[in-house]
Amino acid sequence: MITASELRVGTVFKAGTEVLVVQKLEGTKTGRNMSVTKLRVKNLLTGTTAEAGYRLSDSFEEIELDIKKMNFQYSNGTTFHFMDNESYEQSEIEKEDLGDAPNFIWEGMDVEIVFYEGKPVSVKLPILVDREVVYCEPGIKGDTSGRSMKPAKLDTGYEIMIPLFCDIGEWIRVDTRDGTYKERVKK
Amino acid sequence: MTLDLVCQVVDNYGDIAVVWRLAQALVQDGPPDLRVRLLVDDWSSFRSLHPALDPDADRQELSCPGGMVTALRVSALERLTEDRALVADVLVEAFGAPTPAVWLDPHPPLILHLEYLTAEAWSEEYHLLPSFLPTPGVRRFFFVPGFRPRTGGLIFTDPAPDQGLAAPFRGTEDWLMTLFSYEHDFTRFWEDLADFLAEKRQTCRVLVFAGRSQKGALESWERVCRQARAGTDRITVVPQPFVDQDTYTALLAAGDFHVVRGEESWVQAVLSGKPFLWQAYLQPEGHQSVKVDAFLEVWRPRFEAERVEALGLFEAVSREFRALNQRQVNTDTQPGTENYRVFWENHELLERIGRSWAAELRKNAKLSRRMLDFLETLRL
Repeated sequence: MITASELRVGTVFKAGTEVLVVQKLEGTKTGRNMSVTKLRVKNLLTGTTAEAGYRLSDSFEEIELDIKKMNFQYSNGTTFHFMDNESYEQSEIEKEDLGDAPNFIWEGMDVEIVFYEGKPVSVKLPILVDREVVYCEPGIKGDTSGRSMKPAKLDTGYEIMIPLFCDIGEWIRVDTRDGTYKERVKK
Repeated sequence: MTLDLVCQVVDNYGDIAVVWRLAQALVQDGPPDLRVRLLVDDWSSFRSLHPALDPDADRQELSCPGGMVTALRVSALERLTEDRALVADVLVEAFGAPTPAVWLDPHPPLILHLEYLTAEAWSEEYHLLPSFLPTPGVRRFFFVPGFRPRTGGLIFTDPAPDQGLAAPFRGTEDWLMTLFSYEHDFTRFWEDLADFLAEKRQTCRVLVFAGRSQKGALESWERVCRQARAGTDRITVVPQPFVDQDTYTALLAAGDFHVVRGEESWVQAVLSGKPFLWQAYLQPEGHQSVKVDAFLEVWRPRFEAERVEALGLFEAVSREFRALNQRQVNTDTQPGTENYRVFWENHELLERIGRSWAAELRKNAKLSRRMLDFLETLRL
């Protein structure tokens, strides 16, 4: 069993007779005594997508899936192409089925591709990825608190809020679960 | 249609107060064939709000305006075979209360997850979100109360209780106020009130309700009395045992200023149209401040619609709401920093703003009607 708090982009789970893949995590909210979360899911049997709400304590049956390590080759904007590192077999996934994953993958990156009944359905991302800042306003030396943030763009095209002290050309660690800055890293 | 409401009393009376109110509102607004059952785990908390409840019964038909509600004691569900045989069309899990397993065989086909009230923007995002559940054939939707237009609205009954219920508590003083909050040191309240009454040469009766705030309120009153401060002789303090919901609601309408808490008394204070100060339920890391700010955000347009000086008043009132709620623990030993006089010196304007908002909410934001309308769209 898996609880709603453990769902990630790319997780496939069973709800009744339906098989759903998480396309997007849209945050968690706290009520008085419990937290709830909002997801975008795709029904792998019907192809329809929907927004869904869950209590974090809700639990589901996990599905046995084939997972292959593949290399992200390229994207034409709407379709993402991956290659099996051993058989060189090619697989494609539509951008809309990848949720937030395109924000955190880059050409040449090895990722885990999830297959359901022989069809690639999602990407399992590492929780943390390191990416380069390609645009932001100049850094402010001395401000190391990390409390004040500014907008920035990463080499994947993803726009993120980073601390004032970060600068263009520096690398940062990003949490792929919620797309937030974690720390500055040396490369 | 049979609708079951599941209530788990987490602490004190807030949970059962809200759910009992909802049960009555559904009976009031529902079709004649609507049967409402209320599954309650804490019979004694319920009895505090509804003294007619038989302490020894496992089930009881409770009359309310517009019909009846069947109250069922959760610990007795196994024995209540006739009730179990009638599977509800809709199961409302109030605040995510877990439904006892014995009640889920067979499983009702539709569940509404009733959230706590919040004024935060996410209340609109989550309202009516479906959940795809493991049990085949069972649907669940979020139902989120709120002040915003695309939420489930507010839980209340119509019409407001007869204000005559408040008459025995009224006294002859110029002002009537009530205190019902979490633990808090009310020294500032008493000092401000004494000073205000001394200046105005008026008198006030303060009902200090039983519960978590009574000790702190009475102890701080004693301390202020020892100051020999002018004006304290103009205050009549009445330690007040619990009263039933209708009487409390009537007191809110009959009174002039109220300190309220949590959810049920907060909603009823808003709907009374009277000036009030709300103490939100304490949350980890002071998260209640987010909820208070969200409430202030939805309240602000009511002040903007008034004359220019109302905005200044809004800022002042906001400061006091934040002052009461900036806490990491509930305590009645740390003096509060609120300035209560802003509520009394601007009483007329605050009441005008409050009454106008209350009238609008009563007309357009009744949760029970929205819930029944939603069930109608599902053809239930």
